[in-house]
Amino acid sequence: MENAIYIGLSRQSALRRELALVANNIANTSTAAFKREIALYSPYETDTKMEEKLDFVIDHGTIVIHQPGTLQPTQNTFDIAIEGPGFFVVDNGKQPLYTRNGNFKLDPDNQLITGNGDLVMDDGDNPIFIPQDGRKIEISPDGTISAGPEVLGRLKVVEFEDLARMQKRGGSLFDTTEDPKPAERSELMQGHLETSNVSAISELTRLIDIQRSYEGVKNMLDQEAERLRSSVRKLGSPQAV
Amino acid sequence: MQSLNIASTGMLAQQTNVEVISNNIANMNTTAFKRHRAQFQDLLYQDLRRVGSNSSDAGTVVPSGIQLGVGVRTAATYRVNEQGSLILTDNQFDLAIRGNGYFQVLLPDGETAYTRDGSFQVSQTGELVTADGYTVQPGITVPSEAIGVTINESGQVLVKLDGQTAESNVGQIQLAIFQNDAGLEHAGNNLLLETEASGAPSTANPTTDGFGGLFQGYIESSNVDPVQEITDLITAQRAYELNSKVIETSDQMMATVNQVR
Repeated sequence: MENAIYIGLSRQSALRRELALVANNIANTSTAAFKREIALYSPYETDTKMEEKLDFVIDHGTIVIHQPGTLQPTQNTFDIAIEGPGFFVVDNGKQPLYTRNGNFKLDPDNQLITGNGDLVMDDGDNPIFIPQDGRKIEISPDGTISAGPEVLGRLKVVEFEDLARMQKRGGSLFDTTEDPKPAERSELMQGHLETSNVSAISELTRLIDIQRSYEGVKNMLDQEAERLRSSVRKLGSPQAV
Repeated sequence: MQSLNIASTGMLAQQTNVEVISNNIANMNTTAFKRHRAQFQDLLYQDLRRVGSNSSDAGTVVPSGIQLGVGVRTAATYRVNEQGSLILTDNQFDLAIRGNGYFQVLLPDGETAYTRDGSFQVSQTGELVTADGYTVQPGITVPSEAIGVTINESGQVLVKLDGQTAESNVGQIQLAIFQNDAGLEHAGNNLLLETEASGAPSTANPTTDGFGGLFQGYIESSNVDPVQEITDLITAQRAYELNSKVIETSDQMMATVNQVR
């Protein structure tokens, strides 16, 4: 008999998790190359003693929306944005990880690193060394890094068939179980950064929706509690018979 | 409620953003000031349900797990080393660099600092010094009997002495460049210091390959673009408001829970 309450609760806990997700999207509106996420819901069928089945709500997944952000000029030599579906390859010392946040720096050994200090890889999976001799560094759309006429290396850019298998690792990094393929449809833009793809309007709408849905479930729970109370009262009193 | 913590990281990040922007605006008229930008990163993700985990005994696999991020943090603030426009001052010891490079300045503690602020003066002993009285390196002494000083694009300091027709060379100004300018540390007073991230400087005469040229009688203005800063300020304010909206929503949802009979 209390099924309605449990179904309501399943919806409320799913909504609370989605609120955390929307909060994370909104917190990252200014994070370079951030990809927003949406929650997936589905019914979860449960057998009852009666004929019909009951559907609980479960939030069975989050999906990362890989829609590209807009490119913003920054004028910095080592800010590189990717136009197209590609990812840079970085090495955190344990495994290769992938990122679209091209806000790179140099470490004390003159190697190209990400904001987290992970090494950026070249097409031979080696770190990229930039000599400190004052020559202007140019990065061409295909990733070739050159200082004047001398070619210093080439940034590794990879693409994936199934972006749904990519998992976030924080610090703009992604991890995947899929093997990367060399980029074909991606071009690099030096002196640019990709902005976050969070849209204020859609997040705000979702926020209102979550709050109202939560209130709706609460009203339903109130009514259900009232129904139980009145039925207990009526059935329990001798006049009811 | 986790959303409360997440939204508070968002508000803190936007606050940093506004602080960076306000420092840019405050330095709009600072000679050779380079505007800053704040750079953000998402925090770690919690795997509430891992991608690829089994969803039944038959070995069916979850196509997309539940990942919840826990917010944002400020990763860095970096300088945008775009050239500021040159302003004519007609002051004979005002020098502007067009292109790459920094003047070298000897600090009282013996360390070398770097600056693009070329509003120099001459000390009592005739040395070329910054507005704070720190000597420009390599040292240049202008003789007191000089009636005219010319500093050419490649940094040669030529003086014309009273009663002489030919100009004599009294020194050569050198510039320093860093491969990663963005890694230089600020020391205030328009001075920058070398760090591990910036790398060691390489020095050469102005106008040599990769180095900028000097312009006498000009100073470099800041590269702060008020329109850009105001736009960024509005964006930051709206993002801050949006985060506070999340807090408000979380609060109202908690209030809803409290009202349950």
